[in-house]
Formats: sequence, structure tokens, C-alpha cells
Amino acid sequence: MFFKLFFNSLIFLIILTSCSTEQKNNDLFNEKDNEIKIKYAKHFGIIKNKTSTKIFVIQSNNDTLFYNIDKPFKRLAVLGTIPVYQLKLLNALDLIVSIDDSKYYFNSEIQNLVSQKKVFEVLPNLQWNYETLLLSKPEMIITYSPIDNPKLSEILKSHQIQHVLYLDYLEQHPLGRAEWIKLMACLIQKDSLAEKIFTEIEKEYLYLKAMTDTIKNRPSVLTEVMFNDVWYIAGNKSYISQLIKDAGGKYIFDFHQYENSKPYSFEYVLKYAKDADYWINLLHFQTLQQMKNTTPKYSLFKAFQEKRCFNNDKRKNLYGYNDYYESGICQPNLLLKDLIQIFHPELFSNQNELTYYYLLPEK
Amino acid sequence: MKYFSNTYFLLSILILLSIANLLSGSINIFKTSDVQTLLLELRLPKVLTGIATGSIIAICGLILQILFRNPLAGPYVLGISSASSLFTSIGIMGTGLITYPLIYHLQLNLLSISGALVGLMIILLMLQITSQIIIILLVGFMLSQLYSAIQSILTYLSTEHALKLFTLWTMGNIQNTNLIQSLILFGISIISLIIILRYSKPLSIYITGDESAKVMGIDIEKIKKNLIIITAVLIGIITAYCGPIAFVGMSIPILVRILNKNANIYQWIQHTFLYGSISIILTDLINQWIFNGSMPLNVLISIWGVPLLIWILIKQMKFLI
Repeated sequence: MFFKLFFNSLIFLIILTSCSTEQKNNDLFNEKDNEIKIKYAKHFGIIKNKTSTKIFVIQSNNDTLFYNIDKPFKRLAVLGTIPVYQLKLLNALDLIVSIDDSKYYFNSEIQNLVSQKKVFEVLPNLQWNYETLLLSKPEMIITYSPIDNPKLSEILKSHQIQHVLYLDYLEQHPLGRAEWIKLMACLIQKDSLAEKIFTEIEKEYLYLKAMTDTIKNRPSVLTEVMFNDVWYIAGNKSYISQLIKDAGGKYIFDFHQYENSKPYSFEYVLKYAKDADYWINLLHFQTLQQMKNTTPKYSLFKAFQEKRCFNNDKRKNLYGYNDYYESGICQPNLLLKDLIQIFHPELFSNQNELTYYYLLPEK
Repeated sequence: MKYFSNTYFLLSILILLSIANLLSGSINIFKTSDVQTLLLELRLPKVLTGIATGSIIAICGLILQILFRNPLAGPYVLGISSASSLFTSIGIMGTGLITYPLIYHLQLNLLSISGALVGLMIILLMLQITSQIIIILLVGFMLSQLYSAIQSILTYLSTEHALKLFTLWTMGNIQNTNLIQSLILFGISIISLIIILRYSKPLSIYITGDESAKVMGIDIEKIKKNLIIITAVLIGIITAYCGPIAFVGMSIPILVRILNKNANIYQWIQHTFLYGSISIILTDLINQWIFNGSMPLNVLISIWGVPLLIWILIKQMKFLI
């Protein structure tokens, strides 16, 4: 009897959860005439009316979430380095009332606001502090992931705090990720400033890209290092693959037809990348010696032997959090400039100092 | 020392700590206009859940230690918590089923209880094959490793979001329930205390040996079976709401047995209930006062609890021998 009841309950749950979560609203799509053009980003859109603004965010499973923006938001709880940095670019840091945890931020302005107690930390050490969240009285909370914590959902509902999902990390084009500044600007009604900032970033990015378009000699590039005996390899539709391509390089795993990353063994990577010309994004390593001490077989790679290993953590805070993933992602023109200078130094008459990258010294 | 084995003294401590907990937090309760929200939405649910979690996990640990006649037995060591965690991890990371807040806890509960039951069934099956407790403990320990390995495969394959959700769940948490859920959990803890106290007499006879139990006409197998099912359901419910809770399940019953040197099971159960609750409420209070609520429960309770228990064990070495 008990088991029958148990299995019936399980079947009921499976049926219940297999229903679609599609939240598309056809009325909104009928208003496409007013949709603001988004050039590179594929995971958000903006629809403007005379009276109001609607934004939509497309999740990785293609479910779409819609938000009505009737008024500019003045008090924001922002849980993520990218939206916070985009608010900095929009000169709107004063609208932030709370963030997740200040140790993730390189940006000294936000650190100062936290130490002056003008901005609260609501998710220190990944532990929600609901009291601090309420204390900061946000009108809106911006997070990278859906609110699947029932307690938090209840709090947001009972205190009428609107939630917006920020999915910039789903974008595979560097300019697509930077374009999310337009969504942020919509929330605080600073659209024209966002347009201006993004156009400048795009203009410089495309100018730099054009410098490498005709180059025939494209050096091969290996990325990342082994993590717990596994090498996570990004596919050819990934952010880093696009960046390497635009910087005039040849991504060594360009034949991997997928987005994001998949795990592979050391031998697999060695087979394809042994003779790669450059090796970039080396996690926390600061010297070649450190790399060799941790994993002696790294020295089997040509890029290691010829000392062409570059890491991207030149700018990091006391806790090791890297500005590459903060200001760098928001300004891909700077990332591209660094990479072109690494792969094609001959294209620049004056060698500028790299912003995020540096050549790993021997010791 | 005698105060620490006095039920009324322990109850007073629990009440005082609970009041202190209700008054402590990031917001000064005497300076806010929204006392109702603060107490009814945030602090009271946390205190009630803390009492329920600590007491239930500790009592389950005590029951398992008595049934297996071994102080090493506990939800963690026998693989019950790990099985429960594994099933929950399948729900969070393996299937993507848990996406709807409304049925989130219902699904977690079912999976978590099923996991705890499966874990216990395997141990029960082993008991049919062998009566050697050391083998049962070793099998439980090895199964824990197996469950963890399967869980590792899931974490390896899961999405970043599911992984984060699961990692947060494993840290243990008493603040994610609302008032109704916490009242239900508190009610369950009181009901389970009453039910388990009813078993104190047969358990008192059971610890003297199977033979004497048989002579007294007690159906040991039936009692074992009932208690094991109750224990699995209770561990499953708590694991679903609060994640796997470390330290309490094994250590509190040992502490209670050291402090109550007589074999009064009725008192052991009462004190285990109180010490379990006190350990969680005190940990949360330390978290509020020193770390502004930013430390995971499991981390903090092990940091202060384990050295304290080791010290007590060394001081009471004679008892162990």
C-alpha cells in the first residue's frame, strides 16, 4: 500500500514537472515594431512603448522571461560583478544598495561604498543574509541565476521587490556580453548613455578586429590548464574562441562544435596542442616554475618551452578575484587589444602595456 | 557538572538561547519599525527550524547508536545521510526536475526520504546476512564512499547553476523555511520525541542484550524495524529542508551518554533532544554575533563542536574504557 502510494506520488510529480515553463507572451511579440535593435546579444531584448518599457530575457533552455519597466529603479540589489561594473560605466553606482559579497569585486569604488556602509553585503560566503537584504530596501534585485530558494521568493514577493535575471554569461560573442549594458540602462532609464558607451566599445573592437582580418599567419592558441586531472576545453562557439579568432589567432580546438566547455584528458590536449604557439588564461599561475612544480608534464608543450605563456590575472584583488571577469568582460575592446598585441606585436608601431595579460616569467 | 544532566536546566538554557537568537541579527530589533516581519518572517522560523533540526538529527543518532550498540553509528557513518544526499543531488543536478519553488520542498522531501529509506534498507539487508556490527559499520562507511562517488560524477556533469544550488544545500542551513514550514518541522520534532520516548522501555531492555529482551517477551525485530523506518523518515525530512547536518547526529548522543552515566534511556532521549537543539541554536547565535550570519552552519558547528567533544572525551576517558 505504502509503495503504491509512493510510486503514484512520483509519477504525479514527474507529470507535473514535465509541463513547459514557457512564459512567452504573444501580445508582447506583436509589438516588435518598437523593439530596440540588439546587434550581438542573443539572450535579451527591449520593447519600448510611449508609456512603458518591456524587456525580455531568454534563458539557456529558451524559456523567455518578461519584465515591465514602468519607472526607473532607484534602489538596486545587484548580485554580480558584470552588472555592477556596467552600472559604474553608466555613472550609477549610487543606485546600488546591496551586493552579494565585496570580496568578489576588484572595483575599488564598490569596495569603498561597502566599507562606508552605503552598500550592504547580502550573500557573504554564499550565505543569504535576509535581514540585510530587507535593511537595504531594494526595489529590484538582479541575479545571475533564477530565484529557486523558496524563502527568498517569499521575501521578494511580500516586499514587492522585482527580480531580473542577468544572463550576460550565456552570450558567446564578446560584444554580445558587453551589450547587456543596454538592458541595465533600461532599468534605470539611461538608454542613450548606454548606447553611446556601447557604440564606442563596438567601434574600437571592430577597428581592432579589422586590423587582423587580412592576416594570413595566424598563430595557434591553447587555453586554460588542467583542473583536478581534467582539462575543460571550450568549443568553437565559445566566448574565448571568438576572441582568439578576432585577435588574429587560431584556436587549437576550433573543430569542437559546441558552446561552453567540456572535460578532456591531458593526453587528448597534448595530442592536439603540443605545438601550439601560445598558451593563455592560466588560472592562478604566475610563473612557469609554478606551473612545472604543480604539473611537470606542462613542459611538454612547445608554448611552455618557448616561454609564450600569458595569464590574464594582472589585475586582481586581495582574494585573487580577477578584473578580467569584471571590467574586461564589460570592455571586450581592451581584451582584444591585449590579445592582438600578444599574437601580432608587429601590428602596433608603439607597444602599449597590456591591460589584463602578462607574459609568465620563468620564476 | 550535575547541572548539565538536569533536564530543567537544559530546557532553561534552550529557552534563553532561543530568546537571544530572536533578538540577534543584522537589524537592531529595538530600532526597527518592522518588528513583525523580522520576527515572524525571519527569526522565529529560523529558531523553530534550528530546534527541530538539532533535536531530530541527534535523537536519530542516539537511536541508531543504541540499535547498533556502537557509538560510531550515526546517520553519516551508516551511509543514511549520504544516501539521502545522493537522491537529493539526483533531483537537483541529475534531472533538472527541481525548478518550481512551489513544489521544491515536496520533491526534495520525497527524494530525500526515499534516499534515507534506501540507505537504511541496505543496512537492514546486511543485518539479515550478518550480525557482526563491525561489518555493518564498515559496509555503511564504504557505501557512504560509493554514494559520494556517484554524487561526484553528478557534480562533474552538472550545470554551473545546479552545482551552485547543490553546494549551498550541502552546507546546511536553517534559515530557508517560512513560518508554516518551521511550525510543521517543530511539530514533527515534538511528535517524534513523544513517539521515541514510548520506545524507551523496550530500548532499555534491548541494551542489556537480545537474550534478556527475549525473556521479557519483547519483539526485537519489530521494534528495530519500526525505529529504523521512523529514523529514516525523520532524517529524510530534515535533510530535505536543511541539507545534511554534520556533527550533531553522532556527537550529541555520545556527549549525553558521557554526562548521564546511568543507563536511563528515557533521560538520554530527553537530553539528546535538548542538547541537539542547543548545539544548533548556539551555533547560529555565534554566527550572528561574530560572523554576522555569514558562516555555513556545518562549518561552524564542526569548528567549535569537534574540539569541545574531543576535550570532553579525553576528560572522561575512563567512561570510554
